[in-house]
Amino acid sequence: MNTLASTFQCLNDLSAGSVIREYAVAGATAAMFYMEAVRTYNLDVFVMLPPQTGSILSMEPLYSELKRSGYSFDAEHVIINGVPVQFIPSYCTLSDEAMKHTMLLDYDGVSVPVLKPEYLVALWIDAGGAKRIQRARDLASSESVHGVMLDEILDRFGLEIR
Amino acid sequence: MSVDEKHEAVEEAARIFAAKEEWHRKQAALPIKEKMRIMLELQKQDYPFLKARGVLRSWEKPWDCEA
Repeated sequence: MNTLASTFQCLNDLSAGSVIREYAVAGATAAMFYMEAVRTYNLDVFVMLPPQTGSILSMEPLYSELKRSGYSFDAEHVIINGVPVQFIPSYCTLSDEAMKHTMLLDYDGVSVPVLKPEYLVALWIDAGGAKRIQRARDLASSESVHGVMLDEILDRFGLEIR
Repeated sequence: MSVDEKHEAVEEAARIFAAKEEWHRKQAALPIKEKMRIMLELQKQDYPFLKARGVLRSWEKPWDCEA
C-alpha cells in the first residue's frame, strides 16, 4: 500500500536530482503541519527549477523525468504513490522568499520541507479567493503563527487580512 | 428574559465558545500523521456526495494511500 511518507520521499529524491533545485510543500497539506486537519484533494508543491536557456519557463524536464519514472498524469496533477501532486513553479518574490525560509519537518521518518505558516498566510491572502482568505484567517489565529513575523511579511508585501 | 437570565445565557455561551476553541486547539495539536489520517477519512466521506453531484473532477477522489 502507498503511504504519504513514500510520496514525500519521492519528492526528496526528485530534489536530489537535476530537474528541480528545491521544493516545498505548500497549500492545505502544509497548513496541516500547523493547524487542524482540513479537506484537500491535491498536494501543492512549490518548486524552484534549475536555470533554463529559453525565455519561457518550462516544466517539461520535470514532467519527462516523472514520466520516465513511471508516474501517471491526471489533468494538471502527477499521481505519486496514490497522491495527486500539483507542481507549482515559484511565481513571485513572495513565493521565492517563502521557499528560502522553509521548515524541515518530520513526517513518519521522512524530512519534509514545508513552507512556514506566516508565508502560507501571506500567499493565501495574495492569491485571494474566499476559501483561501478563510484558511488564512484560521491559520493566522493558530498558535503556530508568529504574529510579529506575519505582520512584518504582510506589511512588506502590501497585504492585509480583511 | 430577566437580567439574571440574560447574564446566565451570556456566561453559558462564553463557556460553549471556550470549549469549542479548546477542542480546535487540541485538534491542531494532534500529531501530523493523525491529522493526515483525518484528512484521508474526510476525502472518503465526501466522495459519494461529490460523485452524486456529478461535478467530480478526474483527480477529485480519495487518495490511494495510507497516512
